[in-house]
Amino acid sequence: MVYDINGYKPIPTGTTGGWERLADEAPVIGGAMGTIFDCYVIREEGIFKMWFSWRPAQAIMYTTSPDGLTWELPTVALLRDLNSDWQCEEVSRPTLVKKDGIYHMWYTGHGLENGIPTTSIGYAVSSDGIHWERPYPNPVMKGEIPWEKRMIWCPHVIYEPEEKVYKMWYSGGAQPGSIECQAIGYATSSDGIHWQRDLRNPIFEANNDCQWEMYKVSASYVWKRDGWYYMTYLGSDSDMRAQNGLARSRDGITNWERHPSNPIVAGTEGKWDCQGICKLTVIEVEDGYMGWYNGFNNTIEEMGVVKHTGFDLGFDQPDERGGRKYYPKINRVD
Amino acid sequence: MSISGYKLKPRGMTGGWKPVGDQPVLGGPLGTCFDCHVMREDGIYKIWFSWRPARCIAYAESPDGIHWDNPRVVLTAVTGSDWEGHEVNRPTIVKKDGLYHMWYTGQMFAKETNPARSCIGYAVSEDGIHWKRREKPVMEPHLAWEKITVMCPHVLWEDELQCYRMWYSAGRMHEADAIGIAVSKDGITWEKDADNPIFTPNPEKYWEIGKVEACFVCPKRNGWYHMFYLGMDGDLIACVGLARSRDGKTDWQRHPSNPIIAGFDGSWDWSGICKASVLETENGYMLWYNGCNRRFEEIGLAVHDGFDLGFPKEGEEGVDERGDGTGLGGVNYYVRDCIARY
Repeated sequence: MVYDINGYKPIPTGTTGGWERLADEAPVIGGAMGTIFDCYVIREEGIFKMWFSWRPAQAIMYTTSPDGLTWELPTVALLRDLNSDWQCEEVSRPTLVKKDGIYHMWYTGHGLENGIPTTSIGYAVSSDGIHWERPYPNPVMKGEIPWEKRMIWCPHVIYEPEEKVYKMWYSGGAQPGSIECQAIGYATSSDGIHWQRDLRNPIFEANNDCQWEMYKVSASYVWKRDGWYYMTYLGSDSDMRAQNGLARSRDGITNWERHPSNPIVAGTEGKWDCQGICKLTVIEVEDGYMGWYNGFNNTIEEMGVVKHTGFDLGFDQPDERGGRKYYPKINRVD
Repeated sequence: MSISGYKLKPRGMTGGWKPVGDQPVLGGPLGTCFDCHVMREDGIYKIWFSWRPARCIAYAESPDGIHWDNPRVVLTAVTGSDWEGHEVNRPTIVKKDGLYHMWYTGQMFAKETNPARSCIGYAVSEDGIHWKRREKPVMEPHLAWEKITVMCPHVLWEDELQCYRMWYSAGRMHEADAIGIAVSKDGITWEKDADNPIFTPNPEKYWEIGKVEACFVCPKRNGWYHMFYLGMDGDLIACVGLARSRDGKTDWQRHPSNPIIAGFDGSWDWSGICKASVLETENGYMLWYNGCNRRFEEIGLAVHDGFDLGFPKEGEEGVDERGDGTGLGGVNYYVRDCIARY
């Protein structure tokens, strides 16, 4: 069914595709702690471990949980470097790979270079996930291609043992004062430090035919299963409202197929995440997936949890929201 | 010596106190770290400190009091609370009967739905990290001199009196005006002293003509309570002074070379010195303080060799190392609230 609604803009709300909000009444981290955003979660020996961005402290924090719902008060993991030009303002948006017993982190450094705000991607290593060393004083990636403008952020890195290569998806194209990046790029590296951008970048862009993601896409999280690369991503609609969608690709670069019921996690009316959804981090658990996302309301961003029972993400199902034919104009806010 | 036409702003340390290094020991990329409490247990230094950007109380450990491990958050504000909904800070810790007891300040800043107010809360912990707190404050401002604020608790368990004694600051919220005391058998129900405030600004000394607050009182030693306190001058520039009393309440004798800790020109703490937390060691004292510059407050360390803090014989005035600092100048009307009329 295709709705052709004259005089209304359809704004998606709630979850689809089998995703269920577990933190309905309150976020699992947030409240008086202020804005908690883009996180990365792993599970080791039954313990959930989370690194998250904490806006008030302009730092990356670390916390643990037995169930993914109840989290310890956090410990400082990585602080900005006041003596650096590229990460003197804030560090945020971590992504991790554990390899050969070492945690490798890529993160976003916010700086001021010649008085102009920049964001770049930094690299750190740790043996315990709490104490981090930054072996290189410079960022491992900086915005330098025209579409990236001066700002790239939200690295997501996986390691492919067969190919012996690190693969990074990152977001680029934000501008000073801009709220989000414009599109998603892809790069590879043999050592995690020297990165080669894909010539086809950006490999994932806003979808002009779809109101919920017609303006920007960014903040991807990628995992591999059953011959597919699955990617959650943040889409910004014509009013810069954010929701989270899902797509898949055979090679992680080309021919992305969007989920029919996108966005799979949208803000829920009347709840703490009513104003929108940002990055969604997903891990496999015994009976499906668990995901952590930063939802926002009129005041702050806080951390919520979603669950998906089973591993069939429903790409072959019809659009649960009903088809939406609507071609608004973007209301530029940046 | 008399200087006309100048007000005298003290600089540097006196009374045998010396800074350790030329950098803060906690701060920098953490942003403002302020009012702290330091203990030493089993050779480990433990600090609970107020972390302003995060509006919480954080905890860290150190082998030497200088190099601190990554801090962790141990107490946050409480969403929806009408007394600690916006920030918690300024902890004081007593370890007694195997438990850590913390009193701290819970704050509300003026918003559309609430006025500004500070109260004192109480929490207990077995490890100093995981705290169980009371839903309600254990002390609220309700006396005229306390205005909208009780804050900066400092608590000792007094064996002789078999009770807890609290020194606290009260008045305005930025900053408090004077120091009061209260006693409690259980740490929860507090009886404020009828003679409060028991310590007020000294109109004879410019450096503390504006306000006194945020004290740290050492356990009684050789018959004296020593109190380190924050004094503010007529421009609300802060320094730390020292005073002593036989009973911890009356007849406070100020140190002749006060303030003993003032900002150093050209150093990271040039703009002022706030609350002290003092630890008695084998051969003297260690003192952590938050120093200010234009950017942050950060925590620095000073030390004192030996236990003679430099007071004169009882009844004598002593000699001021800084010279005659009898101050000119007055309190400049507090621009942040127009209620102030000194």
